[in-house]
Amino acid sequence: MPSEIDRLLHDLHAPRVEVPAADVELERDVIERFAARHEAATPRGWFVSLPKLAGALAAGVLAIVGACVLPTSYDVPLGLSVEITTRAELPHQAIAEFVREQGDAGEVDVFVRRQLGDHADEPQTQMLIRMWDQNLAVGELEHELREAFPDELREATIRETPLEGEVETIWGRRIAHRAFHVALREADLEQARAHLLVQLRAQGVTAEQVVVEVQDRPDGRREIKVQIEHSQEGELSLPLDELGPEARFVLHPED
Amino acid sequence: MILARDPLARLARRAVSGDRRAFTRLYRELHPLVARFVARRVDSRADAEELVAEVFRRLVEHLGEFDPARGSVRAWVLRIARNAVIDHYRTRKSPVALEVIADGLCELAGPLDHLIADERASRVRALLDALPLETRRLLALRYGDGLRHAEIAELLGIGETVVRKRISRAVRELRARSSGIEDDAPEVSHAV
Repeated sequence: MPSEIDRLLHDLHAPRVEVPAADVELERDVIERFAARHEAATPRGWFVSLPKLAGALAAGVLAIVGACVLPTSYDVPLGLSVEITTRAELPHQAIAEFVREQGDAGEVDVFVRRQLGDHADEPQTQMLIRMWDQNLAVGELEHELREAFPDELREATIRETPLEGEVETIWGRRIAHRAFHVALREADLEQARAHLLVQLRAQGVTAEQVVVEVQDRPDGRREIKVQIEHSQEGELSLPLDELGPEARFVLHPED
Repeated sequence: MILARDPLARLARRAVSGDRRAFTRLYRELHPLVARFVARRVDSRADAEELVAEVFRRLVEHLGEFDPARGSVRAWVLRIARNAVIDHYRTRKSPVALEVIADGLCELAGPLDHLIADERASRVRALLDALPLETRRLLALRYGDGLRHAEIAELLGIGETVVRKRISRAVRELRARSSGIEDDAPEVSHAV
C-alpha cells in the first residue's frame, strides 16, 4: 500500500493538463503511416506470401520436369589430330615418338599413307597422328614439329584438328554433371572409341576425324554413335551392349 | 538477451519486418506512457494531443533505427517525446528553460495551488522546491512519469543503483522533514 508521502509525490507531479486518451483516429493514422513505410517493402506473413510461394513452387516443379525431359548436348574434348602432308620422306617413328612426348598423350595412333599423284615421280606422303587424352592446344604442335624436324617438314603442310565427342543427354543429367562434379571419364570414352576403330579397320575404313556421340535411351541403355569423315563417309550406330564390357561409359566423381 | 528482457523490443523487431499487428500492439502499449509524459509538459490538451501524434509520427519514421542493444523501447520513445517537447517550446520561444520543461519540473514552480488541498501537501511541495535540481528531476521521472528505476537510469545515463539510492534517500528525507504528516509505511515501488 502506498505511503502518505508517495501519494503526495504523485499528486504534486500530476500532469498539468488532462492526459490524452486513446484516440481511434490517431491510431488509424499512425498505423496507415506505418503500413506505407514498412509494409510495402517487406513480406507481411504467410497469408500474403502464399501466392508468391505457390508461384515459386510451380516454377520449381516446371524447372525440374523440364530438366528431366528436355534434351541437351555438350562437347567433350578427346584429343588432337595432326595431319602432315608432304612430298618428302618422313621419319615416321621419330615424329610419332616426338609427338607422344610433347603431348604427354595417353595413346597415339599413327597412320601413314603413300599416295601416288598424277605423275609417278611426284609421290605424296600423308601422315595422320591422333593423340588421345593429351595436353596440347590446337596450333601448339606445328611450331614444335617444324623446329624439331626442319629439313623434313620444310615443305610440309601441317593441319591440326581437335577431336571432340558430343554427349547427348537431358538437362537434369547435365546439371547434375556440373553440380556434383561428375564427369564422363575421357579414358573410358576413348576405350570405346578405340574398340570401334578396331572393328572399322577390320572393315577397311580409315578415319581422319571421329565424332563420338553418347545418347541415353529411354529403356536405360546407352547408345554410342561414331561418325567418321574421310574420302569415304560412313556411319555406324551400335548399342553399347554390343560393344562388350570394356566399351562401357562410366560416370564417376572427379578427383 | 536484450530482446528476451524487453517484450516491446520483440514487437518493435516484428514491426520493422512489416508486422502490422505487432506495430498496433506496440502503439497501444506505448500510448499511455507517451500521453502522460507529454501531458506533464504542455499547457493545453490540444498541444498534448498534437505532440502525442507527432511523437508517434517520429516513431514510425525512425522505427528501423531502434537498436535493442542500446536500450529499452520505452526509454527510446521517451527520448523521442522529450525532443518533441523541446521542439514544441523552441518554436514558441518560451522564456522557460527548455531542459526544465523537458524534464517535467516546471509545474512545481507554477500555479498548482488548486491541487494542494491541505497543509501537508503544501509543506511537501515547499520541501520539493528546496531540493537540488537533479533530485527533483529524479522524483519527477519516478512519480510524475511513472518510470522504472532502470528506465530513469537509462534516460539520464547513470547507474540504476545510483537512481534507486538517490530516490530512496530523497523520499526518506522528505518523510523525516515533514514528520507529523507521514505515516510509518516504507516507500513502495508502485510508481510504474
